[in-house]
Amino acid sequence: MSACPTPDRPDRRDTPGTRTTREAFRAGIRAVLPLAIGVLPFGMVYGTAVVESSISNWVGGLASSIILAGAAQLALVDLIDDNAPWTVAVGTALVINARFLMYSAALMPSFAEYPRRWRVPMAMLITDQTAVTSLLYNETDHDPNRRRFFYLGVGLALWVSWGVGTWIGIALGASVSNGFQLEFAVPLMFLALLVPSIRDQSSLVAAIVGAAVTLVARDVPFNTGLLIGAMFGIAAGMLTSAASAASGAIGESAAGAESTATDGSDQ
Amino acid sequence: MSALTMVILAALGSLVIRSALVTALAGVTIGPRVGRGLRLVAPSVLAGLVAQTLLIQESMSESMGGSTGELVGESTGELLFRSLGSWHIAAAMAALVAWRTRSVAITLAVGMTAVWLLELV
Repeated sequence: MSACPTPDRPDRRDTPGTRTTREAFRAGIRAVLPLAIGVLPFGMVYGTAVVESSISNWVGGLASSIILAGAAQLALVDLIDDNAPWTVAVGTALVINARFLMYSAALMPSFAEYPRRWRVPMAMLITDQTAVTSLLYNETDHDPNRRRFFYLGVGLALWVSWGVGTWIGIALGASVSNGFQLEFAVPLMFLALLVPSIRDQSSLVAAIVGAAVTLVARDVPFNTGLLIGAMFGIAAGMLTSAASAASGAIGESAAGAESTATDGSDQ
Repeated sequence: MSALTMVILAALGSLVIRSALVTALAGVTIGPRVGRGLRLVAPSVLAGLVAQTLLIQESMSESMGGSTGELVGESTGELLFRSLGSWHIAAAMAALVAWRTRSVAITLAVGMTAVWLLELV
């Protein structure tokens, strides 16, 4: 299994500058393969939830193909099963997916370079894993075509994996034993993505504040705690970045003044 | 409203969320300050997701249920901190491995192996 080609651990088999679009597509699949495998148990957990609910298996399976969002799908199935009003069920799923708005904002500069007709179909594949893996790759390769095909490789591999995991879960149903700790794959996958995305002090502060506020806001209705946490995290990270830039500027001006004073005393 | 209709509505709504910015604002130039903020999206959201899925769980009430009257667990909807155990230890080990190797594959392998071994103990 190959490692995700982050800037810290580039995939040495393909230098971005020499890749064709086909190679970029394959590199995307290779980069996301560990995550695609990690998505399988998550899909199985969701598939089991579908079997244990009143929703028909094919509707639950279809949701994986067209919604492509684990947490939102689990909440949707749960709420439909509880006979919640459709506004609450659909609204909750959409609020959970609202974080994709943030990812799409982060991906906006690279999407702007893609042909217009590609943007909506490609946006369908935005998930936590697709966004983070592609954003890391985009830092190493500035060619829009290769970026597009890398993204497609990542997105399609995850889409297939999520669907396969769902149908395995539906097929096995309640026989998916909790003894395998499959649910642990969910936080583990997010953790494996989180750590490489922390590269400096501001991203560390953003992560700590994001996590802390999400925990504090866990009882806020419709699962909006995650969004609130993310917004506080981003704000805290930006403040840290601004503060370190300001202290750097003060340091430079102080050094400059000291240098001028020294120069003056020498004369 | 049928489950199928709700699934389709959720899918359409999710597509709007995913594509709104990348289509409507695709030509907008991003300033350096906004660019810095966008780079913080991933760590903020992912840390929140880790916190939610690792540290929090729904409380369960046990009751007699089912056709055979067996003891079944039912979610009460209350969100509580997960008691300290194998998940936390395995996650800490995985985080250390992720930090040292920056490899998703090794992190997932170590984390899952650790939680299985800790459950055996």
